[in-house]
Order: sequence, then C-alpha cells, then structure tokens
Amino acid sequence: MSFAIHAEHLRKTYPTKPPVEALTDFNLSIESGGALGLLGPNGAGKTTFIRILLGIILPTEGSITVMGVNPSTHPHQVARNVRFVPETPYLNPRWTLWENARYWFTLWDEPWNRESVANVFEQFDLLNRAKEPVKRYSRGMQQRAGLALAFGSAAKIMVLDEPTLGLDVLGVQEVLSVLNIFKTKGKTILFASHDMRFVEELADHIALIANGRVLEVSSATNFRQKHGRERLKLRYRLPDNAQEFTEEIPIPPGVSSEEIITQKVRSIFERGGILLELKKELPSLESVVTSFLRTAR
Amino acid sequence: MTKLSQWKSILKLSFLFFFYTFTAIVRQARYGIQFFILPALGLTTFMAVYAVVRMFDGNAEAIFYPFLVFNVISYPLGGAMQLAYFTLLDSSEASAFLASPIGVNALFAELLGDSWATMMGNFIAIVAAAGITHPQFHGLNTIYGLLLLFMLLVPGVKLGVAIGMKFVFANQLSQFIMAAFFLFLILPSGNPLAWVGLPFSAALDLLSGKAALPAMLYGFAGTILWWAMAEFVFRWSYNQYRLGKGVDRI
Repeated sequence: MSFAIHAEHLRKTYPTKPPVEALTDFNLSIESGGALGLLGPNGAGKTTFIRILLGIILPTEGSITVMGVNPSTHPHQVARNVRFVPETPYLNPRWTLWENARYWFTLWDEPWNRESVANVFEQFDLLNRAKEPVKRYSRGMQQRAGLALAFGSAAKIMVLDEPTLGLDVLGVQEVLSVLNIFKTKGKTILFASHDMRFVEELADHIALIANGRVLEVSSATNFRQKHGRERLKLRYRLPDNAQEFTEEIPIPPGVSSEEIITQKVRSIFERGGILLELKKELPSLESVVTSFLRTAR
Repeated sequence: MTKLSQWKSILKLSFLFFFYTFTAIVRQARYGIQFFILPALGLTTFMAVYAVVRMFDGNAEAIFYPFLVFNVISYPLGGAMQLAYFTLLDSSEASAFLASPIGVNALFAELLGDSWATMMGNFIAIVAAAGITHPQFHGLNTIYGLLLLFMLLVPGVKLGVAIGMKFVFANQLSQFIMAAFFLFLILPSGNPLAWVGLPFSAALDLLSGKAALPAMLYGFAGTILWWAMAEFVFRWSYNQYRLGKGVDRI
C-alpha cells in the first residue's frame, strides 16, 4: 500500500522550562488519494504534527515520510508536493486575487498557467471578483480564495487547518462539493476541523488525537457504530393532550432494542396514545467524539 | 542555506512584492491622496531631523548621508526584525511561508520586497533632501557608494529576519536599533567608533568623494563580512526555530 504520509513513533518535546511534550509515540499513516480528518481538543498535538510533516520543526524522536521523503532532512523537496492552508489563509489584502495567485505560484516554484488557475477560480466561484483587492472579500470568500490557490497548484497533498472557519452553511456546502471533486482527482487531503458534519462528509477516515497520541483511526461510520450507543427515537401523542411528545432512549449495552421497543410501545398504547414515529439511530459524530475524548482525558 | 539557485526566486519574489504593493498604492491613489503619503512621510522625517540639527548648530549637509544610510540600512534591519517577529509569532502564517520550496528564504524574500516598497517613498525624500542640502556628487563614487548600500540591504534584512525568528524581544530591540543607529551615524566622522560599521563608513566616504580606492576596498571587505555574518546568524536562528526555540515557542 502506498502511503502519502507515514509517521512512526513520533515524539516532540518543546525545550521550554519545564519542557512540554506535544507528541508522544504518535503513529499515523495516510493513504494516497484519501481524505483524513484530524479530530482532537486544542493542545492535542494536531498543529505540532502538521508542522513536523511540513518540515518546519524537527521531531525529537521517530520518523516521518511524506511521499517517501523525510521532511526533517529534505523540507524543500517535501514542499513541492504539499500545500498548507492555515485557518486564516495568508493573502495580501491589498493585492487582487490574481496578484496573490501569481505571487504564491512563484513562491511554490510552479509554472504559471493563467487559464488553469482561472478554471479553479471558477470552480470556487471567485472568477468574477478575482480582479478586486482581497480585502473587499467576505471572510468566507477569503477562505475559499486560500483553498482555491492551494487546489489550483499541482501539489498532491493538501493540508488544511480548519477549512470551514468563518463560512456560513451554504459556504460549507460549496467548499465541500469542490473538495470532493478534487478528492476524486487524486489529491490527498489531511485536515483538522471542529465542524463534525463537514468531517463526516469529506473524510474517508478520522484520526482521534489526544495528549499527543493517535487514539484511533477509522471511518466516521465505523467509529460511530463502535463507540456510539444506539438510541430509540419516539414521537407520540396522548389522547388527553394534543401535544406531541418526543423521547430519546439510549439502549444500554447487552439489552436488545426490541425489548425496549415492545415495552415502550405497549405503554403508549395502554394510555390510548398514537405512535407517530419510531426509529433507531446512532448518536451524531459530534456527541460520540466528545464522549470518547472525555473518557480518553 | 541560501543556494545560488534560490537567489533567482528570492529576487523575483522580492520584485513581485514590490511591484504589486506599488500597484496597490497606485490603485488606491485613484481615490485619494494616498499616493503622496509615503514620500511625504519620508520628507517630513528628514525635515524634522534637519531642523533639530540646525537648531543645535549642526552642519546641515552632515545630516544628509546619515539619513540616507539610516533609511537604507537601519530600516530594513529593524523593520524586517519587527515584521519577521510578528509573522513568525503566528504559527499558521509562518507555516504558509516556511512550507515552500525555498523554505525560510520565502520569508526573507517577502521582507526584502517589503523593504524595497517602503523605501521607495524614502528614496524620493532623499532626492528631495539632496536638493535642499546641495551635496556634492562625485559621479562613479556615488554610484558605487549607493550600490554598496544596496548590497548592505540584503544582509540587513537577513539579519533582521534571523533576530525576529529567534528572540522574543526582537520587537523592542528593533525600535532601539532604529533609534540608536541614527544617533550613532550622526557622531562626528572623526570618531574611531564610526569604523566599527566599516562598510557604512566606507559608503559615507565614497559618497562624499574621499579617498576612493581605500574606501572601495574597505567597503567591499566590510560588505562580505556582513553577508557572511548575516548568513551565519540566519542559519543558526532557523535551526533554533526548527528545534522549537523560536519566537513562537509555546
């Protein structure tokens, strides 16, 4: 299997007084062409890991390769294959988007092809305003602009830090649909986000990180099934009251859901009530991740 | 670190930065008088210093070259230090620059470009100031002197980036340097301390047409020393930064 990013037993201790251990035996592999979401509380080690894989800081111990190249010893070579989009994309506000693009492409040492960049601007719905200074853009547009520059480049790996920060619901959907297109074009996407719906729709896998370690890597669905307790959702109406009632009942481990359903439905019918809706569902990714990380802490 | 092949990218980026920033100023100028702000600021600074020197019976012409050196050297050093410090303080912003194929030189190129852009206004002020003080220009010497000052701009910015990258007090230090540098330069030229900054003194001598050959040699030797020192400090600082001992240390 070919890994785009492969980290083994990474440890990073910041030489402060007292020293801070940001990563402890950190292991993570990301397949080429996939999307992996890093989830974890602030201070979990996500940024430190990203900075090590970009070759900006050195690990204290362990090894890491990005497309087979060690970023600690060959950061410039790694930089040709990786684009990083910080949570607030760094764009010169006084320059137009075209000027910013020209500057960043020069910085990335990539050939300038105005037509292909225009295509990407079009995909991110920016082309009609690309001649305006970036400072006139809304927060969401600036975010899209940062992403457009990175995805317009030829690099194979995209590292995104909070790509939906400041975007409204529609903006998130627009970014999501474009990123999914680029995912199918073979780009590998590694991103950190606190927007669980975005994570669920983009990530093939999620990596749960806490205290400088990767606790688990799996698909969002598998993670929910494994750690989320199923619950019954009932909506019913009682005869003496026109009001609707909604109840969510967690199914305890080892107890069959049919048993609880029978018991509950019988109780509603005995009171002359009408059952409007009954469904069994998994809790949201957000609540599973929250309870998982709380336990891990 | 700064390989020969990277200089092409650095100069191109520095030029693009200057050009786009200048374009942005012109774009804004369509809507107001912003176009005149930079030169006006430079000229006002000069006039203020000029007035103070005259007040204390100083030589009016003597202020011209220190002012020029101050603009060309001290601003890039102090300004780059301050800008590098603030850029690197935000690890997201720093990462965007540092994770490029030329690495930390991307930051150097950006700040070099920024220095060109800011000094554009100051250069106009210097030309205006030259008219006021009527200095004697000495043809080739003057050109060589200016070239020397430009050559010193590169290690100045590099040193600024290096200090800004490593030291948490870079911001305060830069302000101190910018003020102290100017005072140092207006010391009487006979002061032996003036030779501490060998290339600067040589540039001054060249610009005023004194003993061209020795000054050229001093200037050349001094410039090489400054480049070597800046390169050494730059490498050391970046290595410290990568170890986690930079300004953004947690």
